[in-house]
Amino acid sequence: MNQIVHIFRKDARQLRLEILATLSILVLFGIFEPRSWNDFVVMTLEGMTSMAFAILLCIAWGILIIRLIQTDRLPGLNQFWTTRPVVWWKLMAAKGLFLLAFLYAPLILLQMVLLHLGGFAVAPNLPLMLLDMFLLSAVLVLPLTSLAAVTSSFGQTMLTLLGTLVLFVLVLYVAFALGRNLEPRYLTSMQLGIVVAILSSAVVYQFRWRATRNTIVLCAVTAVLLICTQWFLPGSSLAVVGYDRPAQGAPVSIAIYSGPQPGGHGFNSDKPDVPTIMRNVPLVVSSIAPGMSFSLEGQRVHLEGADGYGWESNWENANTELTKDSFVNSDSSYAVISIPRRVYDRLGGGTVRVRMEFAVAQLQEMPAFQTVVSAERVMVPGLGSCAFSKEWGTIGCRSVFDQPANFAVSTFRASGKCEASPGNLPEYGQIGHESTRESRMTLGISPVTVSGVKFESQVQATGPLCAGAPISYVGKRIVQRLQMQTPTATVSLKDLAGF
Amino acid sequence: MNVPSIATHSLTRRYGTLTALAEVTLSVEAGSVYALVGPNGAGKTTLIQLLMNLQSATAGTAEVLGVPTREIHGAALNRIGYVSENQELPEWMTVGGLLDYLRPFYPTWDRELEQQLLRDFALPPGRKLKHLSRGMRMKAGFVGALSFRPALLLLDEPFSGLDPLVRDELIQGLLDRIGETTLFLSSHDLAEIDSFASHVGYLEEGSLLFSEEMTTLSNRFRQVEFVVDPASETPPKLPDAWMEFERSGSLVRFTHSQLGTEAESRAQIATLFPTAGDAEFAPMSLRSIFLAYARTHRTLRGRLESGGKA
Repeated sequence: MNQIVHIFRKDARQLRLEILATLSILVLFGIFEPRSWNDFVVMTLEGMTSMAFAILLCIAWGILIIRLIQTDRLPGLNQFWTTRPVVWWKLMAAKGLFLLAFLYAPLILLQMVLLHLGGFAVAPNLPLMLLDMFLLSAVLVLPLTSLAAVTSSFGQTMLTLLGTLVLFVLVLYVAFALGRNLEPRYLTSMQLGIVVAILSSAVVYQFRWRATRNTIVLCAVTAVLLICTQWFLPGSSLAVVGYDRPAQGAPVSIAIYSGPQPGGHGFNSDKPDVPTIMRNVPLVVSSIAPGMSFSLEGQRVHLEGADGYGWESNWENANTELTKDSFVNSDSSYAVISIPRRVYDRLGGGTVRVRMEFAVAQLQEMPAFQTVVSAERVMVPGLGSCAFSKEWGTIGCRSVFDQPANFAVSTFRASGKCEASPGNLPEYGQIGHESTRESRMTLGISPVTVSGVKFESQVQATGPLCAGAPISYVGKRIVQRLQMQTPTATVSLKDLAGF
Repeated sequence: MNVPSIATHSLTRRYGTLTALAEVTLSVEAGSVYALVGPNGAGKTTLIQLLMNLQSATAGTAEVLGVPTREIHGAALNRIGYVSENQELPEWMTVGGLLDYLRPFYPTWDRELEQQLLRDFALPPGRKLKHLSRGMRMKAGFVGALSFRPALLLLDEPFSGLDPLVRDELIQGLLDRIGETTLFLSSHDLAEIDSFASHVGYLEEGSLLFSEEMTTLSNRFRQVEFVVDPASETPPKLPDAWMEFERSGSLVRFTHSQLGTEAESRAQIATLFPTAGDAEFAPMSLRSIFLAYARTHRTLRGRLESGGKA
């Protein structure tokens, strides 16, 4: 009999209770999750129950993974299987088959059912489901497998996990105190690739050689690499690698405004005990083609004082849309920069030469999708299926895997009751991620995410949305990501608005 | 020429500054019963784990059934059985479940032998391993290690802590396999191996002090006793082969570790002790031999250490 299947069957027998518990929680999640889809304004009991089952499911998966790896423990000298003709890669393959059968396959099956219940076709979303499985592997399965592979017992794994978490929180705390951004949500695909590559190698290495100390070193290298890439290149600077430098004819021109500083954009209160000085650098944006917009996702600033002293910031996250402003007669925006106090004092707060680099997302408006407000679900291209909820007085949209980018919504409200005036007051709103950075796919157990349109006015202030009122959705699609830089400008730091 | 079942050459294992095994060179003939003896912490388990490729050697080489130990994994273990007092069995399994699980791994698994061993050891197939006594668990381990008729069986302290009845049953089970299987077992209980080992090696502090056939060993060791004139003096230099030399008045006693013939030995005694009476040469048990070895070795080491300090 095939050794892989033989070991798989042994593990399935041994872990039958864990399997049963995991599948039961998965089914319960599958029952409660669709009930929460209508609660997109506030979280109700169904939503909380669904979330509780999602958390329980992650815990159950964690226990299952650890127990699975440790049924044939890898570290140590007294394990039963190490003196038997067990082929290491077949043992590893058996564990993989187990995870495929009792973790990935049930999850993907559930996701198919949820997609169907959410009104989405399954086949076109299969690549997204596979990507979700990859993220699940990178974030949960591989780290726990590695941890279980280098520890001898469940208790030891838990203690190591706890220690790792404490260390992680400590690093985050130190990073925060030093003004660094180590938010794991901004892990880039390259960083995830590093995690998957090194941890996979560590697991294979441990199964082959059972050299626990070396494997621990490999895992530690992964953690250090992750911290280093975040620490020394904050703002997901690795992602900047994925931003092209425009070869010729940049679609937008960004310059630092060095004229008289306008008021009304923050206030300048440089208290002596503040470790970081914040400044709004006004930007002049021009040459924006119609239907296009630009979002700043990352930035780096270079300052040079009159005496030649220079300072360059790290790459930092930014979340600013280049919009029209009234103080100059062109499209303009701001970049918020942080200057360490010692640098600010060294520069003397006076006139400096400034140059900025930006990581920019170029967005193109998609053709408007016109329809009417309806309680029936309407499939909006690129967004998902949307329906008017009389209960919440707004429109809720279901989308697949948290994908939607920003959509501008325009419709009409009634000035009184719907029967009297079905829609005569213009109303604007938006749905989707406000930041283009967040529009990338995130890990989810459920493939269906729900969100409501955020309207500018309140129902109480105006009137209700009415079924039958015309509504249009205009989405913005990222067409390219670019690295851009401004020409050097001379500004007075102390004259710039701050916080 | 027959390939030895086990051959090591200058096999060494160090843990930092501690040398657990120091340049051990030995050869175990196919079909023999080799007993590796020595006090606790002598390095017996380390040697067996090196042979099973559970650990890697710091220096030296070892081959098991002609295969370098670093290559012993997977299918190479089809012909090697292993039982250890410390081995963790899958306790959630029943005895029958364990054997069902093991069977497909071995192409040479003998179902009839398995059933016979179950009967001989009176093992209940339906009982979970975690509900078995230590002795019964050991028996289950033996059934799992013998049923595929291994060419070599490595046993690490297999009888430790077992009651005499179980021990006898296990020894009988092993004796039935002698011939088709080479046995290599470690023990610090000398009485239990005295009866059936064909070869013996003595390990002390990681060093293999000797490795030879049991018959040769028992032939060359004798407890020697004779009487001398109480006024006579003991020569300042005695032969190295005379271990544990004691003199109490007229009574002289020592352990002869290199006895050729009794006549030669008597002549040597007469030379060193001209007033010696007729010497008695008493055969020694394995236990007595090892005790003599261990005590002499420790005394020598003590002298060396105190000399070193001085």
